[in-house]
Amino acid sequence: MVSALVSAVKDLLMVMRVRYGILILTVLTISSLYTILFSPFEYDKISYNVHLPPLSHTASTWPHIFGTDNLGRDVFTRTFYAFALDISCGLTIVALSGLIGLVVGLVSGYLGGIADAVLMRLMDIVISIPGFMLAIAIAAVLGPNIVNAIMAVAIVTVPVYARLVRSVVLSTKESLFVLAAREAGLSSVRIIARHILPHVIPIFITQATMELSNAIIYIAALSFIGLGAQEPTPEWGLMISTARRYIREAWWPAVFPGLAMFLTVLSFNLIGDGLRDYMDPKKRLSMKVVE
Amino acid sequence: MKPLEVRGLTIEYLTHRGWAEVVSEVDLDINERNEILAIVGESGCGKTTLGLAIAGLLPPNARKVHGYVKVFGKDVNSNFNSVKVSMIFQDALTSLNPLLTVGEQIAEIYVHHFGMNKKEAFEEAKKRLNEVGLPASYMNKYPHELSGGQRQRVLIAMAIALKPELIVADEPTTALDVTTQAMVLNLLKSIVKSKSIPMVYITHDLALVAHIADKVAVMYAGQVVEYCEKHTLFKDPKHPYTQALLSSLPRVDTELSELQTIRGEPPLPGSFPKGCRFSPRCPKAFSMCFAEKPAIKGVGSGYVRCHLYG
Amino acid sequence: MASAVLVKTLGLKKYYEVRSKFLKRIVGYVKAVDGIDMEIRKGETLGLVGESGSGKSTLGLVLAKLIEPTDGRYMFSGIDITWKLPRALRGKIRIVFQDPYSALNPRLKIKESLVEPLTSQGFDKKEAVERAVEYLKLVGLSDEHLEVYPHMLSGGQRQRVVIARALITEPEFMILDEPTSMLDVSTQAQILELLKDIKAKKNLTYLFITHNLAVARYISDTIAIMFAGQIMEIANKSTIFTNPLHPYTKSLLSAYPPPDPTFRWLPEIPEGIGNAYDRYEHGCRYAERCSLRRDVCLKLVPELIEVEKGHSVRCHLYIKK
Repeated sequence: MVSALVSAVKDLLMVMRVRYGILILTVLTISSLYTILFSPFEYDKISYNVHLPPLSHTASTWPHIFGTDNLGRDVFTRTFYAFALDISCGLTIVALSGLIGLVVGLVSGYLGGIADAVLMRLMDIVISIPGFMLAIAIAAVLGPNIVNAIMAVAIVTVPVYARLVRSVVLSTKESLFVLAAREAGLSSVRIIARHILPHVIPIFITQATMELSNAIIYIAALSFIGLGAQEPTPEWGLMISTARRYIREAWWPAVFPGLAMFLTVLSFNLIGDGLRDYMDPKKRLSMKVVE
Repeated sequence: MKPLEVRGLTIEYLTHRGWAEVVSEVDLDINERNEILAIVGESGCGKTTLGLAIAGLLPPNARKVHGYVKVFGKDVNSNFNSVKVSMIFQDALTSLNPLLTVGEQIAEIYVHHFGMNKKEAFEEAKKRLNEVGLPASYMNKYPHELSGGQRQRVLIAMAIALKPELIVADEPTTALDVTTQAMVLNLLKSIVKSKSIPMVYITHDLALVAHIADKVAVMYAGQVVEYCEKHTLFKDPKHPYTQALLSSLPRVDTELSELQTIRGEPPLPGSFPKGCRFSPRCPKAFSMCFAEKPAIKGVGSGYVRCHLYG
Repeated sequence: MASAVLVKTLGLKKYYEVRSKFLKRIVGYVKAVDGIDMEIRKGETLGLVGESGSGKSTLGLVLAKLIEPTDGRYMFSGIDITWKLPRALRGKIRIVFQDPYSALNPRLKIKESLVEPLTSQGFDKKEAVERAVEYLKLVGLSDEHLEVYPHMLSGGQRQRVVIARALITEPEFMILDEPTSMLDVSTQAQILELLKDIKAKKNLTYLFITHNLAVARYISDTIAIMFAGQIMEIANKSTIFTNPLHPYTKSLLSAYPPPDPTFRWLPEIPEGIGNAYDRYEHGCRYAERCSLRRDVCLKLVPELIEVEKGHSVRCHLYIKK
């Protein structure tokens, strides 16, 4: 298992796109870690140094690399704190909706019948409302804070996983080796775990990687309109929203968070894209005869 | 001009381990217009690739490295349009377009290849259907509405619609029931004889060969190991592989107490043994077989590739 | 001295409902298995021969307890197992499928696939692996094959693994559904010899399902000819060939080309351009294709009648009025 994983990662790293994605991500992550550990500025400390342009020097050890925002806070620090926050939110959303979607898809696909009908109609209801509208509605109802925003986005994205998992389950369920497993006396749970899940996981992971970037965008968008993160939380969407008003005087509090978000989403998309191509049967298993 | 002349044909396929030889130095002939040459072999012996090469249909990841295929004196590869070879494939369901009716698919050939208008093309298509034993009412049916045997008949109709100079049939009856198989076999034989179109019939089934072929070529690991008249093959098989193959067949007409097995497995392209390719499994192999590759030795009107005769 | 009857079925049926599109009303049935009465004695190999659409594979799945029958009785060793397989009999009836390329999970090592039938019954993993090695050797492979994945094995080797997986629970009755149809002729010979060998060593009883009469002749003791879900003729393996009674049997036999060019092969080609799925539902199922049909054949389903010892036919030609 481990050696298979290692060779898979090695193969994946051969794809250029994946390399770029990982490169960008690494740079961003290191910057973020460094910032959180060593930045002399605090993300929520208000000061009189309002709208200082990028690379301005003040009394602190570091210059304001990205300048300061409308409340005198260091944009660089806030941008990279937001990196940590947004990615955490993204991961939480993916984990939550992925897990729920996985279970729904497995149950629906394997059991069929009434369970399938009910669950899929539920998914249809969710998916029939435009994602962002539904997320706004849920977040508004629950109350504007970041935890509620996470839940709203998670609910909205469950159907994507559910449908994907269900379709893989449906096709795998018909395989001869599943029938053979049934014949060997395996219980349904064991069949799902040992025979069906291994076929679901690769496609699931690829989708999850793509969904991660979507999740980040959703959270930023909700915060942008005021339904997600609240002040003084450093969150890209929120930062851009606040900076909008002063954009003619100071472009940097809006542009840098946006740039960071763009690069993060791009890197996840590149990795996910590379993963998806890798999963294709282009990687045909060789016919080697063991003597 | 000879209907078919193949000399020294060697074909390689691109695998992830590089180029591997799948057909090696094949020599074959068809001398008469109503002759059927059967190519027999098990899976992986290269017979399908050979069939594709004769039809001029090698895929892009294959290349001919040596030799030639000439149909009525014309090289199959040089000027594609001047040689007409039809191919009938094994799986009729995937060879037919599921969105067009049977009539439309046959008529299409006449419109595109012979420049007929739709009305004339449909009339000709009806005639072809009748020739393969299907009534005109089948013109409007879709492939999924037909049984396997009926679909195969449609494929045959399409093959003869092209007015080919040679037909290559690659295991056309393997996916069919035995009763349907008999019908398709008879149909193919009658077409060859009545329209004087020579045919290369590829199969793994030696029993079929006994009743459809005039000449037989037995293939193993990319090479033709025995090539002779049909009656000679069954009465006096020369190559140990042919002999072993014949003794491993279960029979409907006699009780057998045991089947002869050939130990081991056929070699894969790219990992052929030194010397004779069959030597590791051959019950009659001796020292020279493992060291030297056997050359073709002419026997009667055919040849055999084996040190026992060299 | 005849041995005891191990497997017995009475009127076994499997019907599939055909429903209309809108209201899901039942508009008809696909009668895959339509009243099978058969007996297999301990140590016997019954060859079940049929073309596609005959229902032979469905019957195999029913007997393997993978599909529930619609009607009828299924007795094993005198115990009624029609609806439920008692715990004591788990693993005693096993099936080997036709396709060795899909029967093994491509992501599991051979070892994992082999021990499944045992670990699912609560066996200790270590013991299961030991048994796996024992059975790998029995089918002509070695313990080095434990750690490989299916795609590294040839078709013949995979089928051997599948057979080992079936044998590992020490069954008494094995259903073999076209186990050699997807293999080459020489590999087929190897597997057939292996099956004969194992049957003797392990005292097994076989139901060998095939469309190939030659293979059936080679491996069976008794042969049953199946058409449209019913058994048309059943006899000892020589009698079917020396004295075939049913018109379908004769037609099948004539369709087999023996590998002998001096034999004048004149196959009986069925009338019309029909389908193996064409069956006449109101009387004898073979009526539409039969060149000898009479009025009664279109009205009444003939019973399976014993014409001589061990030889039964389902045909009006042999039913005295």
